[in-house]
Amino acid sequence: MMTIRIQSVAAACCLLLPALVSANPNNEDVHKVLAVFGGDEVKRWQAQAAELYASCLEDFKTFSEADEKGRLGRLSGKEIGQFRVKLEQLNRIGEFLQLFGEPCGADLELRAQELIAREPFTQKWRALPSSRRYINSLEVTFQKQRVQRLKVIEKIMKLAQKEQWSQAEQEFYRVWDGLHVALFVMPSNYRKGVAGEFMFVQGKVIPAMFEIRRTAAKQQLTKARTEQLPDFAAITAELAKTVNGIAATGQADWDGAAVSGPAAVEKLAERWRDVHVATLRCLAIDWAFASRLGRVGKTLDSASVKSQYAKFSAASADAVTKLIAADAARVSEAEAASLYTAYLRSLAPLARVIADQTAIPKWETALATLAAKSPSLAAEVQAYTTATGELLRWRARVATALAAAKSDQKLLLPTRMLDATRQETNYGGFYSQGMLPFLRESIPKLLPHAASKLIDTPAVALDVLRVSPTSRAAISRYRLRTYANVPATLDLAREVASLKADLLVSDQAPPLSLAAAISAHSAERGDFVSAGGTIDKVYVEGLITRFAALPTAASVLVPLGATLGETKPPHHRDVLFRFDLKPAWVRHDHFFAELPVAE
Amino acid sequence: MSRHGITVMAGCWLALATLGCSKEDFTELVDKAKNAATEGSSQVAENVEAAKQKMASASAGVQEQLNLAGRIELSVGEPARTDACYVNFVPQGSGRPTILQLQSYRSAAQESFPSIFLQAQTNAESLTELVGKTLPARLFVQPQQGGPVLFSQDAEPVALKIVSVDDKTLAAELVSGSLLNTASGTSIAATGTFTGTLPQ
Repeated sequence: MMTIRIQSVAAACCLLLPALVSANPNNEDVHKVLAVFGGDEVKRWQAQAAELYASCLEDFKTFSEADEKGRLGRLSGKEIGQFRVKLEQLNRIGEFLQLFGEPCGADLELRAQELIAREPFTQKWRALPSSRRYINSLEVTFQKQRVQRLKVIEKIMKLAQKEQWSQAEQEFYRVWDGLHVALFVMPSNYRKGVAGEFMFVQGKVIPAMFEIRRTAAKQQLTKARTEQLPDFAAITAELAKTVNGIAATGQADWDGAAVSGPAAVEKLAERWRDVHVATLRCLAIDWAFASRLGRVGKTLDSASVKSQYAKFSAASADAVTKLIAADAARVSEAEAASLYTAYLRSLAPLARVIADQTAIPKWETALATLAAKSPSLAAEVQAYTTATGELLRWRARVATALAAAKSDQKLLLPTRMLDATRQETNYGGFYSQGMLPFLRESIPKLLPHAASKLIDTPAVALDVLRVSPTSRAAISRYRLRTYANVPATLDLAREVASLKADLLVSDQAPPLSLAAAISAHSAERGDFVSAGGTIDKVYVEGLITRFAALPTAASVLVPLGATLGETKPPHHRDVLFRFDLKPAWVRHDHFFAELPVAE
Repeated sequence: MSRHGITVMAGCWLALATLGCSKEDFTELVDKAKNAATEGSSQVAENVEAAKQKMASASAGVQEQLNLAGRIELSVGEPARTDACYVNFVPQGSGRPTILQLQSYRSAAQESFPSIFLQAQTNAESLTELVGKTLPARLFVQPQQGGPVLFSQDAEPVALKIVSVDDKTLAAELVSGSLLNTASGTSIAATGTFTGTLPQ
């Protein structure tokens, strides 16, 4: 007999805490519900569903134990009936949430349907001789209440005629669910009879409410989308204004304050990041919309958002080049050196996160014209470049070779994930050939098998970027339905100090080339080309959810200027996997380090 | 004309002649150049400046063939020999130390294998100041293109002793050092000599 892993009572109660409702299912707790990205109403449904699900699991556990001991008959028919009704309610919420494009809804519907299909208790209990008396009494009551039922149907019809659909639906389900507590343990012809009695009113109310919800979903998603959609034209125009300001006076107006060129670069980078996150959220909301609500209209076209974002990103990279060139044209010889190093400081973090790395040589060319304004600075930069260029190239060669010896294509997170989640004999899998992971069966059903193949096994994450200079976590970039959390507080003081010594960098002497500035900045921050270690934890997330509600802090998940690169628009059933990686080694552009084993 | 002068002239002619020349004609050209040098020295002298400039931009291979480009001979588990060694002595500004580089190739674009790169920091104001001194240095050796790299680890620099310096050459000895192999992870003792050409 197939068993379902049941949570302890304590854990089930914990699900009721709002904070835990927002976590995602993971290998330590496969029963957590998926996070949602929608507004208050969606969050209320999700919280309700979490409670219902926990309660159903608890019931399942209780009934299983009773059944094993041969004491199923001791349970009341009401308990059994209520259990079945809760599963129907869970299924219902799943459907509602899916209208809003919420992956959570798809998983809840699957969980409900699996439990309904799999639970043996209703049938068993119904067949027990000890249940006969209760069922007989139900049958008698049922006949007696026929008139009452017809009155209720009439009441609902009146509400429907007045188009008070929400009240009509509320009343309908109150009665329907109440009746089914009994109906689920009665012979099936009673259920059929009730279905017949309510068929007409059900056929009026349910479709009407479906349409109302559908319209509400469209409105809410459209509103959310409109709020996110950047005003590309306006912000692109501001780029030109900023460049002109710097060209004229070396200062530009940014939100009412005067900023220098390097500060303008930082402001520009911040805005670009905000636009980046807003674009990703926008596109994800489009997927949610298209998933269940039909085609997104002309004014909200995903393709145009993508192309406008691409244009804005190119304009931003170009504006940086123009800023430096404009400053170079007007700066005096005396100010050139401090302006030059200030630009390097501002450019290094931006260079690390942009998708289009061909912008960097253009920035370097502009920086060279700036350096040329001061012959002594230009000579110093030349000497510095000679002193550091080759050393960096050899360091990179060594880092590449050492990392290659430790990692393998097979260890990359997407490969590990796909290997663990594919369909096999006796395992439904998150996908079968030629597809990507999506919800074919519920997460509690699919995750344990996949997790057993992943936990405490080796993996390599690429493009690990610290969320902020002081954050405890770094994120590896989203890649083919995976990303990872890597602890950021790693002991690399020795490697960083050695790199800075090679780069001739100290508090008194900053880097004098962009390559050196990027290298030093990323080493200090804790950004890595790759990190290898063991998988500590696996989470499943809805793909749409992750990006529709992307926090600004997680903007590094996708390179600045790029979008997700899915070949076709994701569906609300599509999922991704997040890993917690315990790192054993990291590879920076210019060093490789094995990490001390924690005791 | 001194023997050294003849060799330089021969080199100039070779440089001119081998631009776009095949390897088979090389030895023939060397002989021709040497003959030309002894016969028409005045005519050759007129073209010396132009030739010198062309020589500077001629392929490194030419100089190396004539043994003018220095030499590195290392023992790093296996021998690693190159027919060139270029010296850079690069003072810095802003209180940064001066950098001494010894490399087996003129520039990254002209790298050949085995490829060897050494870098040390010093506060000396000239190369001659370094004679007799031993410097800690970073050393990298890549015997084959794309193959493993032998390198000195951050905390274990190699010891480079500067033996002699004149206006054209720097001679140095790798007194001690151990390099790590990126592929095998094993440590190898490194010794050897550098005979580097100074920029002219």
